Amino acid sequence: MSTHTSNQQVDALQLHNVETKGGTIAYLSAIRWFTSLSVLGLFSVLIGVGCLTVGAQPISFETVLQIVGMVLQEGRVDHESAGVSGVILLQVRFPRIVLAFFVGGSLAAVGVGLQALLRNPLAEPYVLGISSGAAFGATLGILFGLGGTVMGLSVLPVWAFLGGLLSILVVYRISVTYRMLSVHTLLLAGVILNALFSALIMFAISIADPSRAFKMMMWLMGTLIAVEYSTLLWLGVFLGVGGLLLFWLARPLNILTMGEETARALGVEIERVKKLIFVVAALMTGAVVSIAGLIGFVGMVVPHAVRMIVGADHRLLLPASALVGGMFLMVADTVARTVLAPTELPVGVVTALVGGPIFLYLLVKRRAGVAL
Amino acid sequence: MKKTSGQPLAFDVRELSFRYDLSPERGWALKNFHCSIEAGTIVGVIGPNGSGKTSLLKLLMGLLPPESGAVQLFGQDLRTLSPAKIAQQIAFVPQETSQVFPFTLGELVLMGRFPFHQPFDGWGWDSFADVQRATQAMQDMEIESLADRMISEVSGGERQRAMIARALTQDPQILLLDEPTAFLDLHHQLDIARKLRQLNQDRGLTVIMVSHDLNLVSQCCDQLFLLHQGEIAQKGSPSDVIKSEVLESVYRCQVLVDQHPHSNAPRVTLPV
Repeated sequence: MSTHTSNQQVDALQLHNVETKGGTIAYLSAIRWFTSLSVLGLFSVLIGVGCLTVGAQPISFETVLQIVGMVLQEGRVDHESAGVSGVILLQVRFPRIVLAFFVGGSLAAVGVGLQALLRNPLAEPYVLGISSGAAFGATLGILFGLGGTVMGLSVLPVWAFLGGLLSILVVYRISVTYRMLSVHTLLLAGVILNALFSALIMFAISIADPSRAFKMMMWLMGTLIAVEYSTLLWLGVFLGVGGLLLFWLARPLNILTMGEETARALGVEIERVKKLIFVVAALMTGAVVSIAGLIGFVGMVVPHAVRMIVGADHRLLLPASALVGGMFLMVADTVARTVLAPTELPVGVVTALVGGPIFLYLLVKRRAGVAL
Repeated sequence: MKKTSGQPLAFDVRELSFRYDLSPERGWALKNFHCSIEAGTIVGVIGPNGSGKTSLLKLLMGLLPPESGAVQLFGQDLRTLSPAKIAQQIAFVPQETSQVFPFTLGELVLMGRFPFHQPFDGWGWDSFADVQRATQAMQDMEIESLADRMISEVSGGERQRAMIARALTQDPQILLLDEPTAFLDLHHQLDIARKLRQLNQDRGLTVIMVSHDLNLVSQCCDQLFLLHQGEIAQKGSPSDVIKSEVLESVYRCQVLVDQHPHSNAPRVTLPV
């Protein structure tokens, strides 16, 4: 019992491993956490800048740096002195790339939260029908002319939130009813919800004004656009707060992966944690869907890859997945707007083309093993 | 209300009733259940399938809400304690453990420190003392060399020992185990039984285990509860409970009870 008395002074943060007779417990230290996230953050900036240079009109790296420097120096966006490249960069590409980062990061973070809650690495807002629930909510809002603004902010995300929350509750209800929940039951529930909401959305579109129908179709397929900076700002704050809330639950999420009963026995207030995740996931998905439509598979592919590298601890997995998800969608959107230039693909098409096959592969690979 | 020794009561259960389904045609899992458990004892809970053993364990831990009656933990009503407060005193080892994510055994054992952190403490780091505690528990269960392995990569016995190590990391006064030896071979059964006895003797840990293994509980428990249809059919020392006429009335089959040649504990065999 008293083998470690001399080591008491060692700074806990400095220590990655505690030596034992036969092996070591590697655990998440503050240093490993900070280093990993700093590296990913740096990569995010580099990839973001890289994406700024790519497009129908190529803009050199130097020009990008020049314009960024100018903006930073003058503290505001001066389109006249920045020239055509400046206008393209500042009014079109930059807001769109930042939006891609926000959307990708949020989808990945929500995916991580749902996976822990449902104990299923394939859970994801799009696959489970939460995104299409949100899209249905937003469509209803548009259709009945309830898409007005309150204090300068669109109320569409509220409708999207309600639709998303409805889907989450249905999916969770099913997963509780069948206590020996298989991956397939859960996915089936998602498929059915998706089909149901798609039908309802199609119905709404078919009775809508034809000129708006095309825009709505593009939105449904998942399209990023250059949004106003004010929109970007509130979206960033909103999603950032949501992400922090999820991160706040990182430790309970770790324990929830052992099952609800074990989590409760370890002192987790599971009902509070669950409700918070439901609401935050629905809010974040609602905000993302009302702006960018249905973008699938980011929330599944990204956490899966990140988990293989950083491990399963949500204190690191959650923020790391958010950063990688942001990078992933910045790149995917750059591909979407350049491969067929000047025609643009919906970015949802790109993520589905990448994520769909990976999803199928994982499903086949897990077919035998996972019952719970 | 007789107390046989000066030990405080770890559990005092009064008029506890519970059923899984509120519809009247479903039977009671536990009906008007009374028992008290002294601190520092090893208690075995035995009985046929569906007699309410696991339900009792979960009610003691506050995992299930009683329909009526109350559980007192060291004199405090369980309902007034938060899950974290309960988990600081009672550790629970479930019958089965599964994990779909790539946590290492070390990380899983370290989760036992959770009740001692603030609720929702996602920002926190495991302190050096926490890691030491987990390491010590893994050494106690002799699985420290497996700290970096995933749960899917280790044997059933190693997994069970890891879950007991996690329970010990909670520094509990009471350890609840649901069929701790169910999936283990003879060697590991013996191993777990000896470890539990040792923990009981060294630290005064109160151990309550549900088991189907009558010979195991006969040898390592101080007190046995034999449950039948949600009620206690017989309780007392192993020699009071492991008697052929008692077991035959509950299990409804013929059993042969004699004495273990070394420990003199009652021994059960089935004449086929």
